[in-house]
Amino acid sequence: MESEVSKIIITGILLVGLLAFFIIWFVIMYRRSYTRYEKEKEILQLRFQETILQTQLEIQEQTLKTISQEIHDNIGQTLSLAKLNLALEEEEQAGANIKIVSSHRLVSKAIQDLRDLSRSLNTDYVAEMGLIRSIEYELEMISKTGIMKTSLQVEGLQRRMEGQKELILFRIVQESLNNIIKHAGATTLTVAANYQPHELQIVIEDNGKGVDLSPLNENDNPGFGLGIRNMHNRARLIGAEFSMNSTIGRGTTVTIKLPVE
Amino acid sequence: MWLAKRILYLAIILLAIILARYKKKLPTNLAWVYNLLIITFGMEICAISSAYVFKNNSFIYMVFGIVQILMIYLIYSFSFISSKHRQLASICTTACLVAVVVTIFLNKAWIQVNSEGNAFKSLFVVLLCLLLFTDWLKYPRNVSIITEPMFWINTGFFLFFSINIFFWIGYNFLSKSNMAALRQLEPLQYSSNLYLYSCILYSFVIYKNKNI
Repeated sequence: MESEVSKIIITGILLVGLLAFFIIWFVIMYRRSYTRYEKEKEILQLRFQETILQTQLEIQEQTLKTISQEIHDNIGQTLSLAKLNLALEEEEQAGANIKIVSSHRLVSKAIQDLRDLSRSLNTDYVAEMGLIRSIEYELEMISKTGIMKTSLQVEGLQRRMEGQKELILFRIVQESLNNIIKHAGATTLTVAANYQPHELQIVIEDNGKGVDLSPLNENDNPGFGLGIRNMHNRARLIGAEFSMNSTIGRGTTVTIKLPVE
Repeated sequence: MWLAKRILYLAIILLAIILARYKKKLPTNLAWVYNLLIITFGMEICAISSAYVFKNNSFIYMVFGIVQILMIYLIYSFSFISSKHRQLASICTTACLVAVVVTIFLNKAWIQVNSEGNAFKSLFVVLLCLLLFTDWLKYPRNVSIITEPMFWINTGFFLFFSINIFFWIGYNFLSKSNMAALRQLEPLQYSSNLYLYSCILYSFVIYKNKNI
């Protein structure tokens, strides 16, 4: 009888121990499961953001292409017609009115500027010309305005990359150049492209007034540096690394590093 | 002594009821736990009175057993995320109800203790607890599970009803032959009962308008 009682007590104690062990095991497993779940969630969120960014870029590229075609086909045509009329007028009247001659020149310049703009906006031109030629073209356009001196340095064995990557890289460079024109007040601008065996490094440098980048890290400044954030996101989309350094009064340096196969 | 023991765990239930009453917007699963506590409290009062007046309270426990199965099913069905687990819980509940009703008639549960029925009920709740543990592992919701009220309720049910399976199977074998051995099991069951209601009380203490 007593042995039966002690058996029951031992079984009871074992059962409680086993149940307690099960609960502890569950808590540990749950933590692991939660960590795995969080990682999966993070990856999904990242993919979702990338898809959104990709879609935004596609829409933007499509819009730019449409604008570029409109400039080329409609406004360009109209201006060409106006230029032709002015040329005829010039020919008909020997010693033509100075205003007509001047208008002729202005219209010619407008046509050229629009063509440049159209090319710069059009995805097909960028794909056709390649990254370096497109950057060179942008720098030429800036140089022509006389705002600042520009230079392009290319080092290493130049090679073409996937079209989408080149386009996104070009848009990042373009955005940086626009920022310099709009905000830097610089007199010189240098773009250096360095083709290394496994990496393409693009450095955009100006000697402008610089910018305080500290508000970028503050959450209460969501509007600040939207363009910089966009460039950062675009770079992430193609697996590139984007960084920006600036010192007030000593210019800004933008560096993009893209791993290449 | 019997009454004193009952008063202790009735006090814990009452405390949990009072605490839950003052918590705003309880999620559905916790609201059903609250309802179960009220019914348990009422049932225990009736069972104690009946034991004194009629010397038998088996009928009250028999009715409560069925109500408890349905309420525990509702608590769990509102806790699962997976619809598959919810379906499984419905199947288990139906099977358990059928088994308990059959044992009621076999054991004349209105006049004597229905140990088999209680064992079936305990097994059913343990299955629900395991299903909820699986559900949490599959769909983790919070970094720390121990801050979730439903974790403590589930742990309480799991421990209490696991011990109850052991108790009621033991009861079935020992009630006819070895009452001394059976009495050794009573403190274990009583402690698990205290643990269950302490867990429920604790879950209402930590509840902060969360739902799990």
